Amino acid sequence: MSEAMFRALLAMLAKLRTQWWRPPKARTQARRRDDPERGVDDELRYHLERRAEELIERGASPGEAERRAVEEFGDVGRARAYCARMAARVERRRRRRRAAGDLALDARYAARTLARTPAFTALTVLIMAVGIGANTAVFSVVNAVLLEPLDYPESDRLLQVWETDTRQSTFEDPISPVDLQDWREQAATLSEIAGYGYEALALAGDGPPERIVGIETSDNFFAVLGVEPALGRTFAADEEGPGHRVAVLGNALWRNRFAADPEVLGRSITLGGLPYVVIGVMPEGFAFPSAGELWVPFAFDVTQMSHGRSPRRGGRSYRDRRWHARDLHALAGPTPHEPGWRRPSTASDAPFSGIGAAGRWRRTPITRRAGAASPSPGSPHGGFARLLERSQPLGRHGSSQPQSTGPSKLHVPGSGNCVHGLRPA
Amino acid sequence: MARKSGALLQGTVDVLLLKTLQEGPMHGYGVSSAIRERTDGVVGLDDAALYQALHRLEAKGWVEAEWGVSENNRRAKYYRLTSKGRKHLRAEAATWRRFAGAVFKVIDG
Repeated sequence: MSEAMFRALLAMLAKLRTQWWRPPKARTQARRRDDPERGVDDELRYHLERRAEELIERGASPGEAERRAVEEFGDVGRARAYCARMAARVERRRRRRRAAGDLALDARYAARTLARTPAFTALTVLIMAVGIGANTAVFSVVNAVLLEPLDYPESDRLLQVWETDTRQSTFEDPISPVDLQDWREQAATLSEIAGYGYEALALAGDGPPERIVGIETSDNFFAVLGVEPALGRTFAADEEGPGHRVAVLGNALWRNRFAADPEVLGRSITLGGLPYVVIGVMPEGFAFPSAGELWVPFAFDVTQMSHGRSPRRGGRSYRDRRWHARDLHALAGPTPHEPGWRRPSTASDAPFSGIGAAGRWRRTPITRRAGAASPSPGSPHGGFARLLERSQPLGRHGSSQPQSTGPSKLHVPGSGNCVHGLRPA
Repeated sequence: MARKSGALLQGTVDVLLLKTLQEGPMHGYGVSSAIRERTDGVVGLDDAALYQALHRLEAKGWVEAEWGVSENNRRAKYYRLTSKGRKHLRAEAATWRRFAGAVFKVIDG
């Protein structure tokens, strides 16, 4: 603290003392002066005394002079009461004005003091500005990510499920589609589980070929989110697996590529060289995951995977090689506040049996981290990049042939996927 | 004394007081003596009414008061015309002149 500031502080304290603390004698004097009734009494007494003196000068006796003075005056009691009322009003106004004046003086004094130490003032202002700014920024993020509910019905019941690999001490792992299948069948505390994964797709037909971020989903994906399409329909039950070549368009894609044509329903489009039928268009604002431009059902056959052996991995099962398969991480059901909820921490504690050998899993509420993060070019997985880092990078800048861009060890059937499950119970 | 003789029209007191104070700050006793002298005791303004009027004028902001020391060295409350009071006096005096003129016209005509 500079010396000037110190002196200013001392002066301020001294000022406070004179304003709010006065020696007792000064206080009573001040009260006497400011008391309207007393003032009126003093004034009237002065008048009566002066008048009596005048009468005495003219030869009246003191007693008679006093009597006549009062008599001449008129109704002293009434005058006194009326004057006191008026004086009180004046005093109140004076006090208000004095307080305002003091405030203005203090403000000017503060401004002068600050102006004398411009460097210190600038630094202080800067520190406060940064502090306020940082708080605002942090709050904006916290508000958007944690406090504001998601735009889905009963979004407080949407959960995200991650897998934890105890052998490798990794957590929030992508999940293999085989496990997803088990979870969907066996989950007891979750009403429904949906999954999704990213899939870079080459869209052809109706104009030049275009690379878009496709989202492969389980058949219940939209039902779990609780969203309805703006046009047409979403995936029907069991509309999942090889051969179900239907697609739901995102609103932006529909407007940009198909000129918002409502006739687009039923039209055939080419995705990755295969014909798909457009069955629905999502409403404006819907984007989950946020990078998604188009949604198609899972094209893989889980039943084959769970019993089969990876042809390229020395015969190890898909379940054990979850990192090279499709990945899942979210689901929903009763929220942790409800009776009957137990926080599952190990395989034995989990509501699932038959879960992968890795065993551990956990779930967390879905936040905007998953739903609202927008991917930057080159990081097409957006909020799920962490989950998917072991699968192929996909999307606009990826390849429609995942094998050609991902790390070589990721040569697996299909592409890297993230399975996401959600469901308001 | 002819103190009670003249009945006062409403609003007259204010004009009389303001006019008297135009000459300079004065305490209540001074105002009372000045009015008595100037009106030759014709205007019956008792002191109780005078003090009430002074305080009313102060509350209206037409005069302001301050404690001072009187001619005979005692503490007395002095009243002074404010600019607001001066403006009011001008307006009231004009009204009065018009009114009085009209009355004279009737009486003399």
